Order: sequence, then C-alpha cells, then structure tokens
Amino acid sequence: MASNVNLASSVPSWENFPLTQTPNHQQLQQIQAHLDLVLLALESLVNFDKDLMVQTALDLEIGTAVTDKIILWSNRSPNQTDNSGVPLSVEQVRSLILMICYVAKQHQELIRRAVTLVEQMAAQNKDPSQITLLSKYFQTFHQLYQSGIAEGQQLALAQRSKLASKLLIDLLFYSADSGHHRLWLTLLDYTR
Amino acid sequence: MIFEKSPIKRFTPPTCTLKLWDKRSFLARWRDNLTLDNLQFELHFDDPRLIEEEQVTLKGDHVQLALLHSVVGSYVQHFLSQTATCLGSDTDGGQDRCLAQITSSADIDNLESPSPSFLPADPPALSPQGLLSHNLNFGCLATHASHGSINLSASQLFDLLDALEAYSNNVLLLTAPHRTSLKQNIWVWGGATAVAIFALLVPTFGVQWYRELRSSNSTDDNSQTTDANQNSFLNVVPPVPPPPKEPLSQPELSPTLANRDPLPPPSQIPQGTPPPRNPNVAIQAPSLRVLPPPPVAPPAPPKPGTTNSAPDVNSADVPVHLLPNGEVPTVMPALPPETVAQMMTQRPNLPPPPALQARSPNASSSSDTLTIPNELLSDQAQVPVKPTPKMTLLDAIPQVAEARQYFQQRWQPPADLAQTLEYRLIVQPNGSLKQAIPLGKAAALYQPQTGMPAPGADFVSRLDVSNAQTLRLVLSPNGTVKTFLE
Repeated sequence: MASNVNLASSVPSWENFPLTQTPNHQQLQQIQAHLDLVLLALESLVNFDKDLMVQTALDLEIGTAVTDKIILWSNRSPNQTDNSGVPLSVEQVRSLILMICYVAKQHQELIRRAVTLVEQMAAQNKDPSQITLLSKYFQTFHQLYQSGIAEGQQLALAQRSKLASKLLIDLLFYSADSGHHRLWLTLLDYTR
Repeated sequence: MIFEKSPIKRFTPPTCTLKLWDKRSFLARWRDNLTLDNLQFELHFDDPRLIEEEQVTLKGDHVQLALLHSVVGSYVQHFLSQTATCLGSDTDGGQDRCLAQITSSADIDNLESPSPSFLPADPPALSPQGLLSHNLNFGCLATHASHGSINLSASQLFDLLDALEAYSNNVLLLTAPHRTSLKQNIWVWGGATAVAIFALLVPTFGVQWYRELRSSNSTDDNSQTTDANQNSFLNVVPPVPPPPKEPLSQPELSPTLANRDPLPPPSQIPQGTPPPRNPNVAIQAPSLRVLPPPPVAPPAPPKPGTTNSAPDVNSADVPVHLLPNGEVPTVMPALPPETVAQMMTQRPNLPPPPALQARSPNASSSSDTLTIPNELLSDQAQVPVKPTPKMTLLDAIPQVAEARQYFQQRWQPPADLAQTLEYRLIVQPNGSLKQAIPLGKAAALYQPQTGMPAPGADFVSRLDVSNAQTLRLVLSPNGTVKTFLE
C-alpha cells in the first residue's frame, strides 16, 4: 500500500520514533482497535465528522487516501463491528494518530473542562450525567459504542462508562504537544 | 541580591508553576556561562481548594528536576498503556478485566510504575488513587519540600507533566543561546557607552584644544591661513548647469481655447454715475458752524505826535507843524545834466597842501608835540567795529555763530531742493576749514552750491582751543541755516 504521508515542517515528524520492529497483522489489529476506542472518545466529545477529518488531513499535509479507509463511528452499523476488515498500514496508523492528536489539541480546552468536571463530580460523589457536557459525552459514547460493536461483544453499561472516563483522560494527555508521541508509545506496547 | 529575585524562566500551566533560578551571584552570571549545575527550580502546586499553608512547594536542582520529569513521564505513559493492556482482543473478557483493573483500587496498585535501576534509593514515586487521583511521593526531593507527598488529580498530573516537558524542551535554549546573546549585549552596550563618552568629550575638550592651537600660531600665519581659507572658494569654478536635454516647453493654449476668436476690446466705458438719490429724502445743506463773533478790540486813543499812516515822502503833504524846530524844509529842485557838469567844472580851487617836514620823534618841544586832530578824536572818526555775529544759547563757541553767519550770507537754496542738507565741518585751530563732509547723497550733490569754503581757506576766527572742532551745518530748503558744535 502506497504511503501518502507527507510531513511538513510544522507537522510532528516521526523521524525521532523509528520503528525497530514492524508489527504483525495481529498487532496491527490491536493497535487499530485501540485507536478505534480513542477515536470513539473523540467523536463523542467533538463533532469529528468526515469533513473535519478530510480538513485535518489537508492541514497536516497528509494524503486524503487514509481518510477513505477510516470509517468513523458515526457511520458504522452493528454489522460492521470495527475497522478490522480494512486493515491500516503502519504509516496510515501514524497518520491517524496525527489526526486524532491534532484535533484533540485543537479542542484541548473542551477536553480539559470535561476532565475537570468528571473530577469534581467524583469528588462530590455526584452523577456526572448531571452536567450537560458530560451527559452529552457519555450519551454519545454509548450510542456510538452500541452502533459500532456487535451486541455480544459489548461491555456492560457501568464498565462502558468507566472506559469512557478513562479514554477522556487519555485524550487530555494526547492533546499535549507531545501527545502523538505518547499515543504512539502506548500503541507500541502491542508489539512487545 | 535583588537580581536573584527574578527567575530566568517560568512555566505556568493552570494548576502549577515551575520557576527556574540562577543560583549564582549577579557578577558570576556575567562572567561565566550558565550551566545546568547553576540551575535551581521551584515548583508550586496551585490548588485553589487549599489554604496557603497547605500549598505544596518543591525545590531542588536540575538533577532532581530531571528525576521528577522522568518519574512523572514514565508514570503517565504507564497510565496510558493500561488502557491498551486491558483491550487485549484475545478473549472476550479482556475489556472487562481492563475496566476492572482501572476502577479497582486494589488492582490499580499494580499500575505503579517500575523504578528504573539508575534512580536513587528513595526516588519520587507516583501511585494511582483510583482513576482520577494520583499520589506523588517526593521521596528524596522532600528535603526541600513543604510536604512529603501530594495528591494530584488527572488534570494536575497533566499540568505537571506539561511543565516538566516544557522545561525539558527549553533547558538547552537557556544555556548556549542565552549566553551568546548576553555577550552580544555586552558588546552592544560597551560600544554605545564608548560612543556616548566620545560625544561628550569632543565638544568640551575638542573646542578647548582647537582654541589653544589657534592662539599658538602667529598672526600672520593665521591671517594667511584665514585668507586662504576664505578665498579658497573663489578658485572653485561654479558648475555650469547642463543644457536642457529638450527645449523648454512653451506654454500653449489648449486647442479649444486656441480656436476661439479673441474677444473684442470693450466698448467705451461710461463714466460711473452716482447712485440714484432717494427722492423721498430732501436735500439739506449741512448746517454751518456758528462761530462766535470775533472779539473787537476797542480803538486805542491816538497818541499825540504819532500817526497811523506812514509818512509820505511828498513834502507837500507833511504838515509844517510836525517838522522839528519848525523849520520849513526846502526841496532842492531837480537839476539838468548840463548844470551838473557846469557845476563840476566850476569847483573852487583848493589851496595847495602845506609842505610836510620830517621831524624827529625825539623832539620834545611843545611846538613839536604831535597833536591829534580833532576829527580823529570824534566819534564819527572812529574805526567802525566789525559787528559781532548773533549768538544763540546753543552756540558753545563763537565760531559756531560765525559759521552760521558765513552760510547765511551765501546759502541760496536751489529751487529743486526738497530736503535738508547736512554737513560736518572740521575747523582747524587757526579758523580755517579743514574738511567738509557731506552727510547724505543730496548733501554731496548740492555741496558746490552751498558756498562751502575751500579746504584750508579762512573760515572763522581762530579757535581758543588747540584741537580742531567739528561743526554740524544744516541747510534747509527754505534758506534756514543752523550750525551746532558736535
């Protein structure tokens, strides 16, 4: 698969993170599944649709070919469990990492506010759904999760909520300047 | 020192503040380059929920700061990897285990980051307190900390890592480039100071030196040099203006104006007529000013022996009783010329004068006594004295009046003269005119007509003083002559 990655100087470069061991097919699927969940959290909080994804690819000067392979959670059906049927290459995974972290950085304030609200509600032992922002996030998260994952593989609602909280905190760290580095290192754990 | 109060770098995420200090003295900062060993950090955890006494502050050197960065970074990366670990797709229950691991505090203990072998014996450590809280134990950093540990929320952990990564990215910029710019600043400020001192010294000592140099040179050299300098510009040929490249454009009328016929001369301009008078208003002559009647002096009574009318030369009209002594004047009738000539020829022969004899002056005889004839002793026989010129109060010396009289006799103002002529007359002690200086162009033009005596000619009487005197002569067109002593 041809790589269309064209990294500009203003765009984070992968030169400092050489890939010593090429992941196998299974590892790529695990990496892709993890990225899917991060993408799910991002879609649940930010209106990350197809247009925004294409625009992000243009801003990052990466080819739009990768956007054709990425199926957003909002466009999935229960029969289309995940993106495993359309495996991504390593470069396409990196392109997806760049796009996720780029959009997360653009919405860092929103992510931070959501995380802070979760902390405050947890400190007060209150239901996070009382907050509109959090209610909308969790509600969207559940809807997309249910529409994208086969019913037999779905998590319980409580566990799903805690997964949503964990991914929301992860998004905050991925929204930093070095977020793509951290996300890449996180995904490399599958290759060990 | 006061200069040590300001940090050289400050990172301020929302919930913490990381300050970097240069612990050296102010002079040492200028002398030596900044190295990592000179760095000192101060980390404030800003939690608005805590009072000031409970605010946590951490201090240390760059090694401790790097150690803290390493520990926090590793912990966060491990924390992020827990999501991936629990997403193992090998079994259906993988995600459940993951979530149980995240949410269970007992299992979360396993998330504690492993301590690298290079770390000191008591390194700072982070341990999760559930999903949203993380306990940071300062360990060996607690010696300079206000507290031994702190509980960080997820957002605080994110800010702490953000500050530490910002420090890590800027620590190299704090050393080499900063010192280079500092040295450049020294050169710039040094140069500016030298220029300022030079600008102050040149106007003060330069002018003084230049004056001393001028005074040491001889007058001739100075004059020659000055002349050469002053005349040097005369040798410079003024630049000839280049001929115009193209003939000067003559003003031309626009085609629309050139094709028009010239306007005919205006017809005879009628004389201006006075504005029509308002017939409703009657003309009234201005009222004459009524003057009081002139005072009439009462006629004086005629004095006896006087008459109001001038005496007529006709003797027939002269009353006889008015002649003195009551004599009747006889009028000599007019004689014809023949009679006059006859009378001249019939003049009586005068006796010859007696012969003069020489007498010695020593003769003492009474008969030989020189007698003065009575005619000589009479008043009429006295030599007439030259009349003294009329003097004024302004005449300091009599020569002023003499000069005025001199010119009053000679000054005939020309008909075309319309202004006053003034001269400065320098009179020598012997009374002669030394020089006449006309004051003004008109005075010079009309000087030949003033009757000015020639230089050296006798002018006035001898002066009483030995110095020459200067007179001012003012000749008016109306014939007035004024003289003053200057």
